[in-house]
Amino acid sequence: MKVTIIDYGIGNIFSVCSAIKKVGHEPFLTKKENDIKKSDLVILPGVGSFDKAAEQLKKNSLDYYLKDYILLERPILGICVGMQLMMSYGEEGEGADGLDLFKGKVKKLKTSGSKLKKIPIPHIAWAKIHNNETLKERNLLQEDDYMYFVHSYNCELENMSEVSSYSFYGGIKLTSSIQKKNICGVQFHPEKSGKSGLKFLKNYIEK
Amino acid sequence: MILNKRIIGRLDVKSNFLIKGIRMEGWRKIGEPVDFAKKYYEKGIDELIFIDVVASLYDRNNLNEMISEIASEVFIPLTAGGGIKNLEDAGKLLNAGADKITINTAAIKNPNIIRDISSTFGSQATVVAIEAKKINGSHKSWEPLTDNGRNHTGLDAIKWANLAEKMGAGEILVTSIDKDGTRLGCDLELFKSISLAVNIPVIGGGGVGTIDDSIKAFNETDIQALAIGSSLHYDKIFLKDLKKALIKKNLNIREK
Repeated sequence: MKVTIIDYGIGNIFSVCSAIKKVGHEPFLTKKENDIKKSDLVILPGVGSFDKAAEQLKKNSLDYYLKDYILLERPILGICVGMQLMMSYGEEGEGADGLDLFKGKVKKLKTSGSKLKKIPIPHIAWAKIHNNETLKERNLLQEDDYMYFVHSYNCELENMSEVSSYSFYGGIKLTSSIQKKNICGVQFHPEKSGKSGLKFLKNYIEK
Repeated sequence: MILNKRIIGRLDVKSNFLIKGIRMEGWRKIGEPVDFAKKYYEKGIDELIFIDVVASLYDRNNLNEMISEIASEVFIPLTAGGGIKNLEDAGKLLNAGADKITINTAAIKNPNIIRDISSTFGSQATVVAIEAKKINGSHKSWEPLTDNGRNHTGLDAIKWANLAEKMGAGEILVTSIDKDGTRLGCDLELFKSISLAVNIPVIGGGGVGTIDDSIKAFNETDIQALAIGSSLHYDKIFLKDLKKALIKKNLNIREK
């Protein structure tokens, strides 16, 4: 299957493409309206700072193109900052509005609730996935699988039933994935999470 | 409650060969970096670091190509460095498939480069490598050296770590030159001092010779990750055994 990857100058696209090829599908890089409209599945990658990514998205009118695509009710997967961009607002850097597909804000990871004296930020670690068991839709993630995280900000959703899985860092609960109909976001990097990550990508593309 | 820890394979490379020295001298050829990278990935390594030890002397394209080849088959975080002088060098490596770049010599010459790389590519992609040598007669002070342990800086490693964090580093890779390649155990005081000094994750390296050395490094210091070279390359430690032993000690480690 042809998998559209949004190419807007933000993020490690090489690895996302390699991972898609590895699981037997064909990555297709674009930021053009027509290509996006014709897609069957879109991946929105992203690393770095939320405000810069949001700016790039708007500069390329991708906020409009993606919203039009989403109206077609076809699947979209946001990865890392790509997931964060799906939220209403991100406070990183200068602060910026997101795509508002999920109500809520992307805020600096809170470490004050931990019993540990010191928790380094960014959170760079492999962490276990815990599925939200109240979610009716089929979970694509395997309970207790380790995924690779690297981030300093966390998605705080208004509607907790849209949180499809969570993980822990030093006792702090953080949002690992979000889901609403065909819109899905993952905070971790499936393209960097070894075999568990590849399995998730394969499931997501082929579901 | 303990934080999740990582085991990282460190591969020093020189023109397409995996090499290893002792205290950053007397480098020996070991094999093909790509083969070792794939092997460690299959065995469950959490991350890989590649350092081109003679990058400043030769064309760097070798490393870029090697990273691309590895990133097409190995789906875990890859850090690459050695001889990065500017934003352009960093960008090329990231485009080739590296997730993070590591920088030492150029950062010491001009710390602003840390800020440039961090603000362009994000702090998560910016690893500052500190190659630290114990200052004679002292137990708690180290000097960061440049050019793979060849040149002195007169700086203090702890203060340098603080500055690197301030300039935007997302991670510190601290290697004990005194222990590097010796497999005689880690410089735990160095790991302790650096990880206490900063609020970003610290990767400790140099000297791991046994599983017990690894347990000590995690239990007695606040490092987030341990970089191992020699012991893995020469099959002195097997990843499977190492991870099993660490998990048995209640450390939060990804099994595979």
